[in-house]
Amino acid sequence: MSSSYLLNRLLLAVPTLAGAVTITFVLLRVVPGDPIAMMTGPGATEADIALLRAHYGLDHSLLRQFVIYLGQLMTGDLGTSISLRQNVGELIVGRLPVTIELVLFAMLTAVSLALALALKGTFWRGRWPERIVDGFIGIVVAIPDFLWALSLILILGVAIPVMPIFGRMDLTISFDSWTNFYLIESLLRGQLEVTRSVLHHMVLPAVSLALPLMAITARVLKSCLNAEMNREYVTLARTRGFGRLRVIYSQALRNALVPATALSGVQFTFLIGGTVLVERIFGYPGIGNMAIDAVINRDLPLIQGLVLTFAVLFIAVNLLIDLFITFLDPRLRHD
Amino acid sequence: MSSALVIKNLHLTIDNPKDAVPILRGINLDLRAGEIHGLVGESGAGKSMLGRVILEILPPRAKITEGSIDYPTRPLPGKTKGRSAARHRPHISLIPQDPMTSLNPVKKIGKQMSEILRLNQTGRARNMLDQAESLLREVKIKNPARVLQQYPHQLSGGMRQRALIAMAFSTKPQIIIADEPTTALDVSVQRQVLCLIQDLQKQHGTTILFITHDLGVVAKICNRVSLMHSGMILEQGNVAEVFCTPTHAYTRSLLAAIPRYDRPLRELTPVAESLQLQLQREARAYDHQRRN
Amino acid sequence: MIEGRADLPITYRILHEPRAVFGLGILGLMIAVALMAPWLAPHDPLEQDLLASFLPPSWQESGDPAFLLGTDTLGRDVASRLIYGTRTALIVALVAATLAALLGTTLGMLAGFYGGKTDMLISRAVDIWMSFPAVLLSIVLVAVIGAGLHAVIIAIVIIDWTRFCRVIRAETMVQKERDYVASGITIGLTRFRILIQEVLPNLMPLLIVLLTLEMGIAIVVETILSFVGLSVASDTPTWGNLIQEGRQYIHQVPWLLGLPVACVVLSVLSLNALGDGIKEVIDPETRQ
Repeated sequence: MSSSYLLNRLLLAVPTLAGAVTITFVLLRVVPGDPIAMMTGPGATEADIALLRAHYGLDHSLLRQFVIYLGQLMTGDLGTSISLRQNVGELIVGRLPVTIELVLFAMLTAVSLALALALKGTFWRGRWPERIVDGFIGIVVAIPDFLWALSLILILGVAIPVMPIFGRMDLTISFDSWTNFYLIESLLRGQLEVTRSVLHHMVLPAVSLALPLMAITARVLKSCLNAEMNREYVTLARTRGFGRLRVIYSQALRNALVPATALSGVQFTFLIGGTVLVERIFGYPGIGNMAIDAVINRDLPLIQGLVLTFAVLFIAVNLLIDLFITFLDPRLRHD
Repeated sequence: MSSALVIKNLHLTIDNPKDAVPILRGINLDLRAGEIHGLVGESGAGKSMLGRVILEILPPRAKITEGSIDYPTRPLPGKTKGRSAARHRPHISLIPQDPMTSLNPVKKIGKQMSEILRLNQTGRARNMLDQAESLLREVKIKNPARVLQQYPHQLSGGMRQRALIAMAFSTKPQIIIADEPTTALDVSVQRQVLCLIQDLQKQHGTTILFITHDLGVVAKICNRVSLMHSGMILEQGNVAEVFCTPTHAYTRSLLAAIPRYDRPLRELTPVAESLQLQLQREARAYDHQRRN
Repeated sequence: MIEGRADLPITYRILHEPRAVFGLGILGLMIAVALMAPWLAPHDPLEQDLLASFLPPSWQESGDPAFLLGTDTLGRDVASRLIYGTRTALIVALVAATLAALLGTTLGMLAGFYGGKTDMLISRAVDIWMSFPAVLLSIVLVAVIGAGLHAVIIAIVIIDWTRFCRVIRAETMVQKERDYVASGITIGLTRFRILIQEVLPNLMPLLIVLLTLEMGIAIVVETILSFVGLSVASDTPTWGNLIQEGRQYIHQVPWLLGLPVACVVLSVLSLNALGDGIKEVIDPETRQ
């Protein structure tokens, strides 16, 4: 793994980010809704509106606004939210940990379940339990996270009310967080009551996000494993005394992970995108939920900041996936 | 001389959704301890399948319908089913045909070798690597310490095949199935690899079933030979006898098809189509007879 | 694939693939319901009756037989709203998927066939598109375009053309290497003509599968936008509107959420099954 490759990848991300920033900016300036009007209400005078317009820099030409915006971006300033009247950067930094914890928990769930399914399915190759695994994957893969969220709410929140369906933790518990990473922080500070409540609230949104990713990853990994199982080195390992299960995880798995990760990598970014709706449905206070409010309020600086944040997250995930693949496959490392 | 492996009247079919296709038709084979036994036949004759039967790595739909396989020198309580089958495997090993696809591409050679060693004995990881190094030296790999640290794609075809031969011998097996081990190699490397297999066989006293379609190779290294066609063994015997006084028409025609320096090329006759058809007819008649 | 079956006409084989039959059956049912909505629906879906709000389905204790599946917050008949919602869902699915396919396939074929700068430009655009969260982008787009069915359809097309573009580009690159393209060039056909007359027909099976899957996605996106409250004015009955209402009053009227969710899940499952079924039937041919 050469550092020049890494640098190259990072440089490639720059035009993508620039494109995302430009498109969002242009798109948002043609929004018919007026954020200032929404902010002030019907009672404001012309002069008040003009003043606010100038305050948020909306009285300049489109190009001028864009140049000012880019200039601010360079200094790390994402502007001021119109609806919340706070610094966008601070707002996002405050909410981001919520989403990151949720996303990581969901990805972990998805990957471990997918591994278990794919390994078991391969172990049962050509026998009837494999069909059950395939059928299960086939049904789960068809239903998007949005519908899982609603179905899970109905089943585990209303019909058999065992899971909370709103918020990040019980409102009766008070937790004065320093970092907003509730799960990790409460665990480190030994406040297990908080950890328990946060986890309990996280299960349904995380599972909703995880199920589609789990199914697609399991399907791809299983077909890659199947291809590997027919290769000569696996047959050879069997003759040397590797057991039926052992040959799968100690020989075929790592080889199968290379194409499987490449093929299902983009799905990980879909999971991040899924937080927008899932957080909304569960009233989860992350950046996804915030994004919908921002759009409804026509809060241009906030929308821009959030889109940029999502784009950075997507690119980071793609980069991590590429690094993981080069770590797995020595042939890629030596090129 | 004692037998290392005795196969009696072995029948194997592949089950398709509609019908069962016979692949092996009443094979009798007696591998004597310490010999190199050539198994010759054209592609589709069933020779590789026979090797897989012995190694117990049959494809899912292949079924043994009749016959027995015994290892007289290694009596096993309750063979075939479950774990006992796995336990005797390391005593039979395989030298594969294609060294390019037969090594795990994501693992270093040293890792792959020590994995095999660890499955079959207990000991420290360090010790395993030392053993692997001496095994590589045995197969005349020049820089074994370095090769242990390399991945398969960094080695040439000949080097990989040497490593695979070292792996095959590493469990000290009684029987080795060599499934066309030189077919995928350059001609210059083929000779070296053949000599290597022969040397190691002499040194360890291993019994080898050498699967090939090359009668020249058989003449060079085998003690005895079996000729296969359509899943049947047509002729069996000492290499010298079979080559000098072949009894079956197919053997004669195969021998006539070997290019030789002392005969002009135009006398070279391919195996006649009529003979091929006749052999296939006989095989079908055999199936028909068995069914009734 | 068993030999011999490949000779049978493709429609015959699709009709003997269980998943495709299931998908076609449900899709047919949806189309029938959508077409006959005015006759099937027992009530006007917009007719309010505030005295009869929050009625449970008729088989429950306090249910009213006049309202088979109960009523919503404003006393509108849920069954009628579901029936008319099918109409909205199908229109969006058909129109949006077709337009997205048209745009994506055109760009994908151009990128895959001509390569070079064309390919770089289009691929780069796809990359940038993929760096937006699709859901957020669709919400932003509808906010930009304004509420209404046309806005939903435009949003879906603008977002999902990339799905077609990526797959079709890859497949065009595969097809381009085939002998028939080379022989077309040698007999003097123009490259554009080869693309349309020779390559496009070979892409059709794949395109049909993608289209089926995209219809399912379009139904979900429409539901999502209605759910967020951006899709159409609330006087157009859609499944998403019901879901949004249902989520708000989930503890009082769970069926208000459950029924439309079941409709969406069923339609998405059936369209997926249909796509998978067709893929299963045509795959051996596309691979050869």
